[in-house]
Amino acid sequence: MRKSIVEKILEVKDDKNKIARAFVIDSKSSSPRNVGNEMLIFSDGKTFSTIGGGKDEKIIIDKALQLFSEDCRKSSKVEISLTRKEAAEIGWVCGGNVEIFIQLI
Amino acid sequence: MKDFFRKISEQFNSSNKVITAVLTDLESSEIDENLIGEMMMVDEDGGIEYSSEKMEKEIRKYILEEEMKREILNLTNTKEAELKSIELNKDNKIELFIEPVLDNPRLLVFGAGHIASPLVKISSLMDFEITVIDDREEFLNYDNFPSADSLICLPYKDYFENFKARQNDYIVIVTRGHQFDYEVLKELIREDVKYIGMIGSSKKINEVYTKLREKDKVSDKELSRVHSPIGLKINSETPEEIAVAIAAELISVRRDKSA
Repeated sequence: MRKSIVEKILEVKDDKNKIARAFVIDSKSSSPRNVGNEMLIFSDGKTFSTIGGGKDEKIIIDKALQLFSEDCRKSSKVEISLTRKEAAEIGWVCGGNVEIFIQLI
Repeated sequence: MKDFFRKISEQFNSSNKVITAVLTDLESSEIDENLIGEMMMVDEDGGIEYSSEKMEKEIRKYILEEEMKREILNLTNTKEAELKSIELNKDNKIELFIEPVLDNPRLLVFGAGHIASPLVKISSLMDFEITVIDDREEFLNYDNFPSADSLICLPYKDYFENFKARQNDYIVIVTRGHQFDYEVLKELIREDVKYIGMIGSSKKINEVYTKLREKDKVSDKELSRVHSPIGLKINSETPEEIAVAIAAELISVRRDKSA
C-alpha cells in the first residue's frame, strides 16, 4: 500500500464520505497488471491513482458505487477476464485474468 | 477504519516498517462474513493492530497472536505483495492480502544537463515523484523540466544538509563533472535506497571509485551496487536514447521480483 493512498484516505474520509480501495490481488497470464496496484474510489465516482485504466477500471468503479449503495456494505472480490479478442477491442495486446479486491473503508 | 489508517500513518512516519493484511476471503461456517475487508497491521517491533475489535476477537479465537504475526511478517524478506491462504483449523480457512506500506517512489536526478531533461520527461510517465537538483539556474527551470515535481537550485553540498534518503528512492547521478559525481555519490553510497546509477566513461567512473575507496574508505562491495555504466544496454547514442536506457533500468529494478 502506498503512503499516498493512506494519506488520501485520512484527508477525505469522514462520516459522510465513503471510500473504496480497489487493489489487484492476483493476476494471471499476460495481464499487464501488477499485484498490489491500487486506486481509491469516492462516493461521487471520482478516483485517486489508477490500476491501469481502460474498460475494466470502469467496471471496478461501477462495482464500488454499487457497493456504496447497498445496505450490507460488504467488501468484495471482482474477477475480470478478457479473452484475446476482447482485449484487442479495448486496445490491450493480450488477454488475461485479474482478480481485484474492493475494500470498503 | 479511519483510526486504523491513522495508526498505519503514524507507525510509518516514525520510520517503522509496516506490513498490512486485508482479509479478502473466508472459508468458514463460524466466522462472520462481514469481517471480509477488515485489516491487521504488524510493525517492525512486532506490535499488532486490528482494524476493529470484532476482527481482533475472531482472529484470536483461532490463532495465537505470535503465529499470526509470523505469518504476516514472513513477507518482509521479499517486500512484495502476496495473497496468502491460512488454515486456522480443519474447518476454517482465511485468505489474506499481505503487503508492506511503501513510500511513493522518488526519482532524484542530480544534474540538470542534456540527459536529465529527456529522462525526466520519460520518467514522468511512470509514476515517479521527480526532483532535479543542480546549482545552475540557467539549466534548472520548468522550461527544461515541465514534468518535474520539484526543482532544487542548490550546490549539492547544501542539498545534503537537509536530505533524508528513503527506501523507495531512485538516484540518477548525471552532473556536469566527476568532482560533482564524487560529491553526490559520497553522500549516497551508504544510504538504503532502491537504485543508484551514475553516468560516465569507465575512466571517469574509475577515478570516482578510486577517490571513494581511498578518501572515504568505501568498500568494493558498497561500490558494486552502483549501476555504472548507467542504463540497460540498447546501443543508445543520443541523450534521448540514453535517457530511454536509464528509464528502462529503473523499470527493471522496480519490477524485479527477486530483489
